[in-house]
Amino acid sequence: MIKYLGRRAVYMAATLMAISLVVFIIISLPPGDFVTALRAKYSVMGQGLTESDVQALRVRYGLDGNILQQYWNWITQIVLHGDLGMSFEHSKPVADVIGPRLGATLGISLITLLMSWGIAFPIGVYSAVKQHSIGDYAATTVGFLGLAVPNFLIALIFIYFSVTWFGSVPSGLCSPEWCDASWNLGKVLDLLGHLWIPMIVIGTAGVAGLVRIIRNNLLDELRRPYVTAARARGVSEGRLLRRYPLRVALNPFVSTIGWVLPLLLVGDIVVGQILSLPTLGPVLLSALKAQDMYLAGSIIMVLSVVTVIGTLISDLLLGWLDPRIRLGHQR
Amino acid sequence: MEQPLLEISGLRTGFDTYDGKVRAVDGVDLTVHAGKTLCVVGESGCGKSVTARSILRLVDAPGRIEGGKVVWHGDDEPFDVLSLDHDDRRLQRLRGGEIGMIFQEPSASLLQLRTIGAQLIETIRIHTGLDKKAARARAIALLDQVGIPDPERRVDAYPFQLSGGMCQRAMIAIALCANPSLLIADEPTTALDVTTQARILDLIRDLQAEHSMAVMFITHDLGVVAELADEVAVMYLGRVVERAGVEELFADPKHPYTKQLLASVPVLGRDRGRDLPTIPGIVPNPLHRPRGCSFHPRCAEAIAGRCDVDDPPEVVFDDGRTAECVLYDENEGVRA
Repeated sequence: MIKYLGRRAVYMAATLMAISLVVFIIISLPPGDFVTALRAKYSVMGQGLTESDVQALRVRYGLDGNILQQYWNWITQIVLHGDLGMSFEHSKPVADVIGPRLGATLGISLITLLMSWGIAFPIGVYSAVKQHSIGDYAATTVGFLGLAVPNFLIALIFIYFSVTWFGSVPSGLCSPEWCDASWNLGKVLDLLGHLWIPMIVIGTAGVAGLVRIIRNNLLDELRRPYVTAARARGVSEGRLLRRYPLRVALNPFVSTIGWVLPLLLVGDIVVGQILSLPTLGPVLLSALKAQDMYLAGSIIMVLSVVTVIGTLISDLLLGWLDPRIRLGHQR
Repeated sequence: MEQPLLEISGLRTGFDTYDGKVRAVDGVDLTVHAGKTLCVVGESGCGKSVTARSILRLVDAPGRIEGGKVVWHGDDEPFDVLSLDHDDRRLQRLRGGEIGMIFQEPSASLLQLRTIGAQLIETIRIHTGLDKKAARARAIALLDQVGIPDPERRVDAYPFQLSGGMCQRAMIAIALCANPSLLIADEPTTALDVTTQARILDLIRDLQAEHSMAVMFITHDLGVVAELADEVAVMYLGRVVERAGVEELFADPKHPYTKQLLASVPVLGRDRGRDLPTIPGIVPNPLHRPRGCSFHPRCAEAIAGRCDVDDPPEVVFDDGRTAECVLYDENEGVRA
């Protein structure tokens, strides 16, 4: 087991190094850099920058030298000092930009995720067990709609109706009067008042997708010979469903953890932008636009780390859940 | 007189498909006698397995049991299994309690994610109410009885760690856990290799004698029939076309289908260097069943104007055997 974990750790480190290089190169690919953007901004304000100013700025931001040198500076700082670098755009260390938003992102995403699992699971199971019933058709139809309609459209529809009906746009996670307040009951209630919108908007597609996954997995399993065999030996229907097909249908679920974790961190970028949620998604978007390379690179690196760790977790969980994976080599 | 244990009469099970209704079992009458072995033989798709599954009401959608009776003569009042409610205690007790059932693919019939012990103990506890410890002891004893070596260790093995033959033994152990009076074996040896097949058959025969239980054995293998059966029912396209004691059937097959089936069994030496005799044609699509006798298009003895027009009568002979064929109408036996 320890040997296995060690081997996995080495693979993970190698994967991350490769990802970091690719990410860095892709981010630097567009012509120009942050200084170019800065120069354009200054010239709009009527302040031309001389060539020497530009050179000085490049040196200050560490943008001189070729791309490999820049990469080397960046990655050694991360590996040796845990320093993610400075964000040009925010003039703050990257860690300080990401940090405060991490909590909100994780919070919204985790609650949304748990809610969508909580809703999707019973619907999916019902849909599979009562296949071709009216309830199943209803769930499947609503599910198709939920999957087909993009999240940002749902967000826009919400905004439209809240403006026409309530005259205000529900944006962010708190009302202005509560945002800077310390945590108390009023702030929690205010938060809940705002939270349901992103939850519904982000959740619909998630629920619809999950219902389909559970329904299809379970439908496959319900037709297996072991179900008939278990019924033939008198296992009651409820117990049969829980202990046999559902148990098997859960496994593919666990493997989704690998890609669900990074989604949790970024949140939904477009929806975050539209509803002005304090999540990482909008920050990543603006960092990419401004060629704020250390910030963008760091966010993507954090995501990669989380993805790789998520995959490891789901592999370990699968091994724990499924004896065929755990004991397969001991046949 | 032998006691009937299970009486199936007029059983009809159909499958609704997009192309129409497939009548997989179309009026089957069968009787299993206590302590005896009934073999049901026939080609693939003739409705053997569906008949077996209908007994315990295990037919999955889109299949549906449409009519008939399955009367169980247990210790209590005889009752019709098909008329019970879904949550009737008697149905629960029948499944796995009084009737044990084993299937064609032993490893697919066990849940791969749980140990055979867990699945065995679960069934023992459902039907006997033993506590966990006693049930585990009984599970080990049962595994020992069905010839699984080292049962104390194997009880915690997962199905994928055992061979197909071992899995079938485990299935038999599960089927036997409540001392059933009937074991339904649905082609239990088809997926196994020949030596394992013979061992499983020996095991079933030994256990049958030991527990004095009846066996309903579904197979397409006439060799198995000769070895195991007391009585034989030959099925063709959802109907029982001939019913007889095993010796009478092999010595004097009545129905043309049975005759041709027996003729197509290879004999060592005799068939060297020549083609195996086969029944001409193929089993018709059950969606487009021929008019009259289903077998007439392939039958060498078909009578034009009769077999392709009228349903064949069921002829009962003096010794109780039956055949569904016009050849014996009037001149031998009585019409049923």
